[in-house]
Amino acid sequence: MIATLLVLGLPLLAAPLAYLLRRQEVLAAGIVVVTLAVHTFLLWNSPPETLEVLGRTLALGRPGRVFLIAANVWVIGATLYTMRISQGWSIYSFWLVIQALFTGVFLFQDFILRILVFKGAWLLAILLIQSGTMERTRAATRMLIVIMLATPVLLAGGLLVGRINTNAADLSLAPAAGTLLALGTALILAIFPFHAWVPQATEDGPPLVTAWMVGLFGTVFLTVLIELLAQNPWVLSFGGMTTLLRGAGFILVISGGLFAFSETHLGRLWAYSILADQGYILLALSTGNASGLRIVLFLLGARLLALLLSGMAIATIRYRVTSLELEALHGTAQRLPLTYLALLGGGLSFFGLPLSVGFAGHWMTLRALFPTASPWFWATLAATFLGVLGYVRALHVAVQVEESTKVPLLDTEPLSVALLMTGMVALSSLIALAPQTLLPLIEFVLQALHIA
Amino acid sequence: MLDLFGLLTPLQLSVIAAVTAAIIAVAVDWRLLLFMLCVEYVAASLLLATLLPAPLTVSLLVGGFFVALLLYWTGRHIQEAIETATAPGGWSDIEHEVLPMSISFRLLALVVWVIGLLAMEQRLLLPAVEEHLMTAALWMVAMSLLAIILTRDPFKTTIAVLLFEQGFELIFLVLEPGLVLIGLLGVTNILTALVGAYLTIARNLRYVEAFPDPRSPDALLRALAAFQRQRTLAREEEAE
Repeated sequence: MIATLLVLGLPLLAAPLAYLLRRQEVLAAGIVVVTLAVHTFLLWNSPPETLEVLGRTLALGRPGRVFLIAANVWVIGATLYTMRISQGWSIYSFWLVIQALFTGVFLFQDFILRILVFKGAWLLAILLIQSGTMERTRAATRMLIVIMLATPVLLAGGLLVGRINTNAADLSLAPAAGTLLALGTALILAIFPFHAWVPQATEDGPPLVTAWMVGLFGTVFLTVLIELLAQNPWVLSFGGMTTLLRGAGFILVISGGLFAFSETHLGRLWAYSILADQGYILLALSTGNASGLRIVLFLLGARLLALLLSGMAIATIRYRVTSLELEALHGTAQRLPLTYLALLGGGLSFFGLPLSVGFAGHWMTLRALFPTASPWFWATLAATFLGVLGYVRALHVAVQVEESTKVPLLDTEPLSVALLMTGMVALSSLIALAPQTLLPLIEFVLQALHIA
Repeated sequence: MLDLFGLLTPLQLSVIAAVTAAIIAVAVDWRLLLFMLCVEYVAASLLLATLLPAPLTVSLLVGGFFVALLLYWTGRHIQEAIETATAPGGWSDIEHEVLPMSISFRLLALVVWVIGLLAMEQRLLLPAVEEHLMTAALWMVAMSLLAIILTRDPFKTTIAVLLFEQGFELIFLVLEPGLVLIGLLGVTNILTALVGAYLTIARNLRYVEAFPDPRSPDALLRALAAFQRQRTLAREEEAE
């Protein structure tokens, strides 16, 4: 029982302490690392028992446990980074509160309540994005409007799914349920034309916070959606949800590649590559079968790793150079070689370049969707190639030393950051070379969804 | 609960909700906006009182009270800061910050919006929801969207977001009533207000930062710098 309560409340209990010590960043970060390490240990060894509260069943399923462990590890890695390169004083306590809210999302069994807790976490995260800049509130305001629009749509979709489950005669509501859920997904996952907040957040927010926001919130939402679809597979066959997911996936992959190619701002280039990767996840999800779901889980794992790696790299460049405009980056690669290696390792993974951690998932998606080469296959590949060229262009600028300016007088990466990024690059290379190492974890989740 | 007040019929309450929502869409003054939001909370609670148990509707009102309190504190803080820093009339004097379009344009947009809404209204009715309730909810949602389109001020955006959520809750709570649900909706509304308050302060930070004696040369220099920053921001936004 004590272990159960600790799993539920430990991050929440530690948050005030982290807030009080926020100006002593090493101490506050230490609290986050220890709390989340203990939380992970408890989740692994003593998963919480099923509880009844106010007539609602609270239970943590396997997908939720796996996600929370992955999220804890992600936040621990990010916290170790922020001890040296700050991303804002308040992030430590907020990260703990939001980890507790993520636990809440997975504890509820009802989709509607999950979405409401998710919304609470999203609203708190807006404060962290805004902390990156004052007076410019565009990213934060857009995020506020996105969650305002997405919540009713998702709640209505969830309500209809619940109605159909209790009364199969209401099957006439199924198309509406599918359409509403697809629309809500489009809003939360920033699918074109609802994508504007992501590039803006990479400009306004602290880079690692943006990576955390995009990575963990997207993954929580997708995990919740996958659980809903696993329990109600009929949703995919009504309301054109499969078509919508596939269409949205294509739009994201193609627009992500095109926009990334034309970008002159490293943060926005990064944002569009993240969106292109999201497109691949939607494409894999649209297959609607067990192998598609296996690919989705694989892509999500690779994505979290790539986000952490590239987020650290972008944060380091902003910390040292202060600007992410490409024209300000001339010659910086010579002072920050490891950072650019991490940026390429993470960034190119979003496009599934061979030898990157994302390659296996992207390749499997293309194989699953296009058994034979069709025009759509070539269009997807061309957009991906353009996205890769965007990174090549950025690297070309960063390597090039202008005669007038010479090599900029920049400090190299701090030692702890360099070590952390080296470790991350090594880990992602290992997974890129042996992607099957993720399979046991993926099968563990699939078994819980009863669709292995 | 409706018997307690016993003054207004559901139809009258719907009209009040619709008119109030329309005022929120075009108004500039933060006090008027906040007052109208409070009226919306009361009207929505009274409308729901005919269908839900009293404790549930009272909890909605309590949530609305905290939202209003939080936004009032923020609004007053910004108003005082702006009065001290630049404009003697305060926030409303920098109208272009709140609503870049003129009043005539806003009224024209409202008229077009209302015509569109009236044309769509009959198609958007749900059989499980009473007509007057649906009408009020549609007006609230539609007007909040218009307000969001017209403004770039975080305070007004927050009021519009809360209005949108209020309109949605009006329908949703009839279809899916429950204490846990109302509790969570209330918490998210308060969080929305908190985020809105933070964004409002962040946006107006140049005024909120402590100012010296307004007649001193230092104050003049700071005011000029603030004006310069404001102009640069406006140019950047125009360029976008």
